[in-house]
Amino acid sequence: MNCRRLEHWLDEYVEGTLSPRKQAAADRHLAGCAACRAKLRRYREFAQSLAGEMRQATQSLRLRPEVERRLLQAQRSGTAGVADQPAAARFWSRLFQPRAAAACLLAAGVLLAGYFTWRSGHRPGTGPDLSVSVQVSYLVPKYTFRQEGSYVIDTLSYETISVHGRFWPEHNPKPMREQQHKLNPIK
Amino acid sequence: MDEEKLVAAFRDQDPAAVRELLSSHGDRLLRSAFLLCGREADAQDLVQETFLQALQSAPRFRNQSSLYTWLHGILLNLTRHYHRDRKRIVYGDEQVERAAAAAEESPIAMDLQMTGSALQQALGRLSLPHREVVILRFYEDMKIHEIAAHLGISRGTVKSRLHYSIERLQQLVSEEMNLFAAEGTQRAERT
Repeated sequence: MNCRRLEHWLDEYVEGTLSPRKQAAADRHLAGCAACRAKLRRYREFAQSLAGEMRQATQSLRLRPEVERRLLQAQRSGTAGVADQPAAARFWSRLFQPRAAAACLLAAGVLLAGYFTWRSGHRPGTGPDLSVSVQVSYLVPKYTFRQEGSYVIDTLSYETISVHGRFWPEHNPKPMREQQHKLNPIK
Repeated sequence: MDEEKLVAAFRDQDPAAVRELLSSHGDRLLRSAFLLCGREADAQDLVQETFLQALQSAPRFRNQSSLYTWLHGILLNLTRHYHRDRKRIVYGDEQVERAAAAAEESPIAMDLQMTGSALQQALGRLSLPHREVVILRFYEDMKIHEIAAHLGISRGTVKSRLHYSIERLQQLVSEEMNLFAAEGTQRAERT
């Protein structure tokens, strides 16, 4: 093990979670490297000092008694358990996301086109045009964050997605086109 | 009551379990919350909200971690919302510029109460992701892989945040308080 490897494994060495083989290699390196011994000692001193400072800063803190009263009151009034939404409800709420809804509509359109094509027994060029056109437009909210100094700025905008496709009987569907229109920032 | 029985009683919404949970983990969570947010009054509110959310989602607790770790996970989420809400400003270039200027003038405005030692003040100046890692490693005494699992990030990310934080804290701490200066180390090495 060299100095760079030891530095990489320093955290695990200090917390004692290195494998026995790595631990032995680290011990051997430390025995012959004064710089790494100094680094290890600085790390331990820092950890001890910081832990001590944090304990000192917080040791007098006690949870206020009102918290217990508030919790027991919440328990009695039955507000506890409300957030325990059933799995089925969670499934449906996920399904009604804009993208999921659009995908379902498209799938339904493709299935209907396939069904009518099968029923009509249409052959290309032998009858009326039985092609089916499907178009879906939907808005997708877009929430973005960026850092400005120590502030986080958030922006909400909506993106219009338009998907359309045309399907012919007994032919592979033409590739669908997806168009993304400009963003409309909400101010 | 051992932890297994306590968990079962807590799931059954037994008032005695709530009291025991508060007495065994309440103060510890409060201290962690204070280190994370820097204000005692806000830390008290965060811990109360943590227990309320724990009560609501108790039936979903699956014994995959200790009760304290589970509660601490809820606290971390709430603390992130707390910091986000405090820092959020509403659109417009003028406001952005004004806010950026204010942040430069007073970078530690969010941690006015954490005015103890130089090291405590330096801790208050770390960004939340870095502070979380430092608190979990050196205050909660969690191991690297435990922190990674707790925060849902890789071990490499935990280590890089930890190393950055240590370097940054050492920079921020005044020379007088700095126990890790190279000179001191060399002197100690010789002895």
